[in-house]
Amino acid sequence: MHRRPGIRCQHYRLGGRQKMNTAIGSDSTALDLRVSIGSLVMQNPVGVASGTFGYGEEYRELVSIDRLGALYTKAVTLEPREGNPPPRLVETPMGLINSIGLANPGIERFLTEKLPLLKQHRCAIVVNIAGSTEDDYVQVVERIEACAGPGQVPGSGVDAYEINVSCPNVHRGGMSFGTDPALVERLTRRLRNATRRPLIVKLSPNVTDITEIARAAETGGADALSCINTVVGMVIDTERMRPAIARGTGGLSGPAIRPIGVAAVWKVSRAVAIPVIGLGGISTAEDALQYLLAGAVAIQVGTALFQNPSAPLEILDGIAAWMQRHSVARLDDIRHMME
Amino acid sequence: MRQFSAVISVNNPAAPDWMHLAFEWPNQTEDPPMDQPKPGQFFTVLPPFVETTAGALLRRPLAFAGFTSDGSVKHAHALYQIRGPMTRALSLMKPGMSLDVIGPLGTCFPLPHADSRAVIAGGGIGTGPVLFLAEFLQKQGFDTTLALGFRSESRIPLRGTYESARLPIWNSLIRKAVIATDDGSAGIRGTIIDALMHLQQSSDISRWHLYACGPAPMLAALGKFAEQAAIPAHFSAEQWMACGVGACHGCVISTKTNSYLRVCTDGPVFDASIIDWEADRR
Repeated sequence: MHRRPGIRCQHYRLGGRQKMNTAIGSDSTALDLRVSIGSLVMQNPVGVASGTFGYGEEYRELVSIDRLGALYTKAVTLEPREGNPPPRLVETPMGLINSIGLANPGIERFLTEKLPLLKQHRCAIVVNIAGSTEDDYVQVVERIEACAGPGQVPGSGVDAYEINVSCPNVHRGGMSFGTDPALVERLTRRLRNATRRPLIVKLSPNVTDITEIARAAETGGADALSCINTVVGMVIDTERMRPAIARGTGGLSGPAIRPIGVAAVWKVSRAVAIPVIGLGGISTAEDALQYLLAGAVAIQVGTALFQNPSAPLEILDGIAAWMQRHSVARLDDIRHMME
Repeated sequence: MRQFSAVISVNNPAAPDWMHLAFEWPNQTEDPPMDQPKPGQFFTVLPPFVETTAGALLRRPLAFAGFTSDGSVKHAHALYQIRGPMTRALSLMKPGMSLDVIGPLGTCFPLPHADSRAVIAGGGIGTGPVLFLAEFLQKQGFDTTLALGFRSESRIPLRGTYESARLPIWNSLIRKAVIATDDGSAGIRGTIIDALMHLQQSSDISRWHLYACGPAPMLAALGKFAEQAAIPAHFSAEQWMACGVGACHGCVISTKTNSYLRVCTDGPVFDASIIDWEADRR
């Protein structure tokens, strides 16, 4: 098993923000917050969700990125994409609808401009991949493998892939893959053959039975699942008599979708043997613990960052406080604790 | 850019629907010292009453309208309108309370050439940042003219009885400004363009550098005006914003070359000639 340099065996001590390099059990207040995703060990369960944190540059002055469990990058596609016309956002009670359209600089500029900066972080880097065709996804992964080296090279800037088959805001690819179990299985299998790095498939809630898609990804060789992407939603401006965002519908995120995400994780984690990463409307430690109790091994924070960039680390502190209060030493035990 | 808890020093009604907010700027002894806000830049706030704000979620971006010193304490100022639950929650805050602020964010207005005349146009929500710019350029010794457009006299902030003890410069700037109102209740009857046409009669337009901040239709009209007059122009744009720091790509506006720029980090101040100011109105 590979471990990142300098993060041999990290434990979390409440009260201080320092990490300790000690053996488990040597200190009664030491908590084991580590999470295993395939061959990758994340130092704690709290990640920042794809699309909300760029490639780590923008929030550098506001967030201690090295304290995160994982940074899930904005989606990378084969070609550069301008994204959808504005307006791209509308706020709705306890939620946000976006239609960004996977705006990104494309794989080549990702490799030359973004990857060198991602290498500087000590948290796990999960590169989110999107495409219009199966070949697009495969080519992006092959380009990264060629540049970052095969397998998990320490400090390569790429510790795992998150496969976006659930973006609701593009015409081709995205969610049109993620709603068809046969396509998900075939795409996952092709990517499995292209990399030894952990593969995380990000699922859409916009399906009749999310467990069917989850099982297809597992059969295709996924190491883990991210649950859930945004929920298709729409707001209409009744004065102008047109949709509030230019593309009509978009993806709803924020506290409004948290119960949908918790239910999806609860169902999916009982349908597959691979780990599930929960996301959707997590703003507080209590929200994160709902996901962990529902069966998630880790969580991602997205829209809450926009309200408070400190939210991920406050959530991490809150999870640790809860574990202390409930005498839970290992984070991985939480998912088995619900009655 | 930094996230900090700011102590509110002023939060007063400055006209119907207008509020004047000021808060203490963090201590400059920090290492490295924090950048001071420049005209055109903005900050985002999260009022603490989120549970009473009817499900509002996002921080609100507000433009800086001034930066003053009160002995050793510095204050950042803004003018805002109560538009929805978040700004209503902000309007209920009292001096002494602490406010969650991230800033300074975005680009600032560039200086004009030394022999240029800075013609600064603003109106509605754009009033605060143009007051800051006018004050800043005047202090630097530039030939500066302020033109403001409003729907009617009652909508003009800082013109009635409200005098800011901390910023008397605002009142004098507004008194001296060329004003246009849609209904003719103050100044010239018409729009900001009519105010500029009026100014043009007594001024060599080829020396102008046009600056603007205001509602989208105003910027669209001013964009055309600057293009026809072939003068340099820099406008501050507004768009719905989520992260405010460039990460989410939610706040883009359209350029004339069919690409998109982020208002929060590529802007909010743009060279007016590259932006398609009409795009959002089609």
